Amino acid sequence: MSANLGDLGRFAEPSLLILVSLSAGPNHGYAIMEDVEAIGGSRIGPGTLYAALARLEARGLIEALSPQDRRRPYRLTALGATTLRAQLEGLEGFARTGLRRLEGSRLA
Amino acid sequence: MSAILRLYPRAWRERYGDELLALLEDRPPSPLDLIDLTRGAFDARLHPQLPETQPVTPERKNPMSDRLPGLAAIGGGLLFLVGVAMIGLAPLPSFDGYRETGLAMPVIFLSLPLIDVALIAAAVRRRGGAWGRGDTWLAIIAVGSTAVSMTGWPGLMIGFLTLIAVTATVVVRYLRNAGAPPWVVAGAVVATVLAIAANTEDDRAWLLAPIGLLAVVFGLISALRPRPSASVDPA
Repeated sequence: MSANLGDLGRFAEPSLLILVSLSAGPNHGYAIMEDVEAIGGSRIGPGTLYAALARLEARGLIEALSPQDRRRPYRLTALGATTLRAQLEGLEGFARTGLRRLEGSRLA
Repeated sequence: MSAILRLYPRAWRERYGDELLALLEDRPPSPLDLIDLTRGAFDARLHPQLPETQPVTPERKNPMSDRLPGLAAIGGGLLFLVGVAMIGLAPLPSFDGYRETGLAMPVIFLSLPLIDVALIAAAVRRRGGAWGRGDTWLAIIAVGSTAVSMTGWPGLMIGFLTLIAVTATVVVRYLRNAGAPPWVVAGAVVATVLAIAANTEDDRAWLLAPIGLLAVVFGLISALRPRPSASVDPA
């Protein structure tokens, strides 16, 4: 079973980036922002970050751990991992199809 | 920096405020970040997302506040019924003219914002969140239009029509968004149909009574069975 990130509207993309970041292990807000910037090449603002974190937590895709010096780490749940895998496999299939079609065309 | 956090709902600040402040200390916000935080605050007010499994506030210690929407609905419903009774019991004119309703209409006008605010508060409570901007504006317009309706012509007509429109909006929003029980939906439909058939110039004025009765029953059930929160907004 996995959740549908499409329900998150404009927070779907930041949420996916956060899930990818947390797949490496628990992390807190600031470190997630830095990591997302490094792996995704795009920056997410603090308001968007926490709006996405709240949605992911409310849906059980991530969970909060005990705060460490006011910084609260988050980690991926089993549902979050399943959802992330489904999302990435979907994107992988989508990318493969796109590349195959591009190779078959005269434009590439 | 904590000033911008005040834009967020209190429950949200209790849950995420500290860690967000810590983040902003680590990474001072740019002007774009401030805009992003402002958007985030509006989003938090419009779409509360606090996880159900981790209540950030202790069990409510003031059950009276849970009962306020119900009590407001009872008060509004009773006031509405008094207004209807004043019309229904007033003597019919001996000639082909209007029935003198005296204070009845102002009494009814006063009852509607009470019912409106009760329904808005009940919907907010059922979705387990804070008052959004839409909720606040509807409450302000309901109270404001009642005040305007007391100013005499043409304020009477402007206020009355606005009040009816606001009440209809509040009821539809409640029925659509608050997971209203079937009996409330059925009652609202029946009361609306009867109200459309009502006429304050003869005994059909009594057809307005189901609106007041429904508000009283709704208020009694809400006040006796308060529900602090129900669900997380999916949006």
